[in-house]
Amino acid sequence: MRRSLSAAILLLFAAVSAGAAFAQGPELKGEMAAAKIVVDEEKGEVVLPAEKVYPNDTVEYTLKYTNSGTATAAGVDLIGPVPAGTVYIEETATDIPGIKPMYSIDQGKTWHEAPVIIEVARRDGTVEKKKADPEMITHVRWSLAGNLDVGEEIMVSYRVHVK
Amino acid sequence: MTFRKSAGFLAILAIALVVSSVANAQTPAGTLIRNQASATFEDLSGNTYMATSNQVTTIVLPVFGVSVLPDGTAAAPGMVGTAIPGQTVYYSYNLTNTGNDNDDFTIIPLIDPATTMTLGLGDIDIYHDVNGNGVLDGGEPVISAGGVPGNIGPVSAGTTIQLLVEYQVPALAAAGEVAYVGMSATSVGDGTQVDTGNYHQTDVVSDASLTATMTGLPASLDPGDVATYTVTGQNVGNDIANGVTVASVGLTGVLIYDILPTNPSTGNPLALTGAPAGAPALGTVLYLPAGSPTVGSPETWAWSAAAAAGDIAIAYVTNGALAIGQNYNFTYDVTVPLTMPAGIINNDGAVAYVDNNAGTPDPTIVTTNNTQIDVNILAEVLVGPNGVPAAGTPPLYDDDSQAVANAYANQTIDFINTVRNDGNAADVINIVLDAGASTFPPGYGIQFFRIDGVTPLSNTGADAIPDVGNINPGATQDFIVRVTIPGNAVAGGPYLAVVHAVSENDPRELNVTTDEITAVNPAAVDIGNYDGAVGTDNVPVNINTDPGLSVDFALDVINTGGSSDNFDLSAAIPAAWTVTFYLDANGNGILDNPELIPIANVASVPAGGEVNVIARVDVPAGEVPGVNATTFRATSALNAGIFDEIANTVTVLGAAAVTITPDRNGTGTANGTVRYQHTVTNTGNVDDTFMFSALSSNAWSYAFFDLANNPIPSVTLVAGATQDIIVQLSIPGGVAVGTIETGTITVTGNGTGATDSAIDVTTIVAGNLVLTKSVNPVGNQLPGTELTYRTDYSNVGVAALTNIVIYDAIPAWTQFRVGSESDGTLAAGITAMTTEFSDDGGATWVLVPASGGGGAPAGFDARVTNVRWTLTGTLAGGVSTADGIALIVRIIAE
Repeated sequence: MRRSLSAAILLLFAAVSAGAAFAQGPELKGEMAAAKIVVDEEKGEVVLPAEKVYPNDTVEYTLKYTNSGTATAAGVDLIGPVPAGTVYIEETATDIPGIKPMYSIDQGKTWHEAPVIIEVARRDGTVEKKKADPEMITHVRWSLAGNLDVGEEIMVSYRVHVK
Repeated sequence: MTFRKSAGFLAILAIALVVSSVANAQTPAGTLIRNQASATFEDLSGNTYMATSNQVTTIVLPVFGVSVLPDGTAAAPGMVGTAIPGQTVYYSYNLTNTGNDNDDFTIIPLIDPATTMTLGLGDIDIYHDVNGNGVLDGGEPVISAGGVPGNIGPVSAGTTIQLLVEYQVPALAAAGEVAYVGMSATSVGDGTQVDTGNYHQTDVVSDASLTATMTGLPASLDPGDVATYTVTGQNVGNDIANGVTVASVGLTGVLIYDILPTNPSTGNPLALTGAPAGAPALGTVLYLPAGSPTVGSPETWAWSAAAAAGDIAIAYVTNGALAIGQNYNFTYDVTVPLTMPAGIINNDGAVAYVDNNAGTPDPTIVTTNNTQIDVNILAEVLVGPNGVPAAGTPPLYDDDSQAVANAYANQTIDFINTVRNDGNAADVINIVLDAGASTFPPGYGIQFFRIDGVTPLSNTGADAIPDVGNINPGATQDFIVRVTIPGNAVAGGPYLAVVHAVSENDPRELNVTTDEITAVNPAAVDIGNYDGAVGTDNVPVNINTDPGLSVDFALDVINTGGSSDNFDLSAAIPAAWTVTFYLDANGNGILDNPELIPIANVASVPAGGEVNVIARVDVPAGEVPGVNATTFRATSALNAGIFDEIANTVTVLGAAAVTITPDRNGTGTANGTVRYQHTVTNTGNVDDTFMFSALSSNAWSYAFFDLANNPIPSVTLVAGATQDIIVQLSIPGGVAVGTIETGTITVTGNGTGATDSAIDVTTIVAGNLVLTKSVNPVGNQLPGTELTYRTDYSNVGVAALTNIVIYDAIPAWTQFRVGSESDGTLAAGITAMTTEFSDDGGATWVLVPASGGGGAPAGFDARVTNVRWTLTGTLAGGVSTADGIALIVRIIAE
């Protein structure tokens, strides 16, 4: 089990999406932006750059995706991770008709509507259902109900708390 | 240091996982919070794509904080101790750096004004209790001496250190005096962060006074090791310390006891081991069974003299009182379980006795310092197939693998692997491909993704290696090993991706799993003949056709590979043939009008998909009969070396045809001969010998010659060949002038029967009138060109000729220019001419040409078929004109 680690990281080939060989088709270009949200007693919420934050600060991540291809994109799913060192702030994910957020507590393996319910094993072997702690949320996902036509863009956001 | 992976341990961890909670530690200063969005989407054909965003990075800045425990005020001191005059007292405090960065702290003692003891700040020293044993050991540094502020640090974020406050009760202090001493700690990083107060109380007594100190050894250990705790003390008072009566065992003595520390991962107390021993001798070791309450005075608890599994506390009761100056101690061992999380084991003990002052509550309980033993981080990593991180053969668990039996070119194969932290501390676990042991050929891609399948594993730890993130002890994390097979992959396998999961806590700790693709299949295609159903017909097809036509082959192209592919279409066909491919959109095997859009390939054919196409092959005119290979090929765009063919054929049928041109007009004299030149062309695709025959309207005889004047009965022509021949009419004697001979000259294929005829019309004239016809311009002309036909006439005989009529016919595909008829220069003896026109081949001569007649363009008359000039006068023998009659026609261009 214990041995020196001599193997280097090897990526034999820079993989591209399977459809990239064809110039025709939909193409989504995504941008992510981070903003620090502070509350000013007079001005209300103020948006500041988020290059530097302190523990307990609030950071808002905004995802903007544009269909810059030549064909309509269907089945669009946008995924925003909750990065290490942060906790998702409940009810901050964009939730508008046609773009309902879903949440994952297992790194995107499964998705659930809010509130996410988990089962906790008691010592006596019985199972208790309870609402997942926000700290368990690992990803937020939006599934676009309709298509994203050429030139259209979609923008969603969510907020996290810096631990 | 290591330990074997134990199944029991894992089971417990599995339970712990369910109820695990996330640590609330602050994010360390300098942490880079990286985030990257991703998206998946489809085109309207159902192909799936992925797009990741830019990565945004946020750095966490330092925050500072300090906590000193226990808190306390003069009214409610955090600790209470007794001391006799002249005694030096020690009080242990914990200072915790509650910020997220290393920090130094300024320490200063405090004295509350309620203090009655004669004590100044200059009398108080504060030491760093480096080993945390609650005792001032030699070499441990003073932080604040004589009341002067002093700094300690750096202290790591989240770390707790121990401080000892030391001062001496004045020798002249009287019983009943009291001191309230505290301390203040201020963050150097942020001077606003202060924890002050923290007062304890020291009562001056004239009675028994016990000290109590706990040590825990070794200072650091691994799970599975044994820790030894020792409580020592002395009656430093000026009276004896009386015992308490432990009712459950009926013993009376000073009670030294400890509620055993617990394993936070199980909640169970650490198990006692070895033989506990106490002094002074003749005391008794007591045990508090599992589940016993620990409320109220300790002597009232349900102590037992017999040890049992799960005991939650241990004690030593002395045999009676402790004399003035008498020492005591109690030593016992506990086993630190394998499941013990890394970190600090805090423990303190206490001693209970009864003093000699009936006015104070009994018993008196003196609590020891808190002692800390550091449980070392033990890294242990397991990785295996999905959900089975412990797969493999113990003790290394490195030989586990999972396999995909078949994969295809241009496919991506996702292997889900699961990694588990079997260590005793949260650990960032790196994922590394062992390039030396992996066997995927160049061109293959191997990438690691989070289980969402779209977020690449990135580095979240302290190194630059991608990892699955920070995993709590016992927790698991799935990730994806994605193998991207190139489109031009050839058949091969098995191929292995050997994946290492490596602890960042201890990079020497790794576990191996292998993801295998047993067989890679290249791109594949099947092209065959249309069968009207799923699949295709690979039996070759022949289509018969005449030359100059096109034939359609309905074809099926099936992607027999494992991923979407484009296929280029091509054909091997005879030279000068052409082929055009069309998409048979409705799949009916017929090229319909809406489908007449040529294609060069079929695109985006999904794995297993079938596309119907039509190959239209144009067969040139004149193509010789026979079977011609027409092989159609579909070639993979992913791999140009991958193609399939269907070897169909086109049988060109025999198509015999011949022409003899043109029709001719001429004049002849009785007993004379007239020769006409014709062109025979084999316009079919079959070689043949064409026989000559003639049908005379007057039953006269015709003979046939080549241009060298050799008599010939036939000509043999290969397909497309042409030859000029001479047809000679022999005019019998005594034929009346004006007699018209119409000869039908026929050529007939000897083998094929193809036939064509030309008409030679000969007018019998008197004498020896010879007509010479010419055209200007000569040679091949474009449609629309106007041709001037001139006929010179001469009498080559001796006798004079009269009543001369000269006929000329308008050639096919030409139209007469109205007014273009010309008499030319009249020959000597010819005094006048009359010109007449026929629109019925010479049967009648009443037509008056008119511009646009018969639908001709302006200036022309399409109705005119023949023109004749009737000459007035006599053409003597030997007389001629070189400027004869003429007319102009135009080659039809419309």
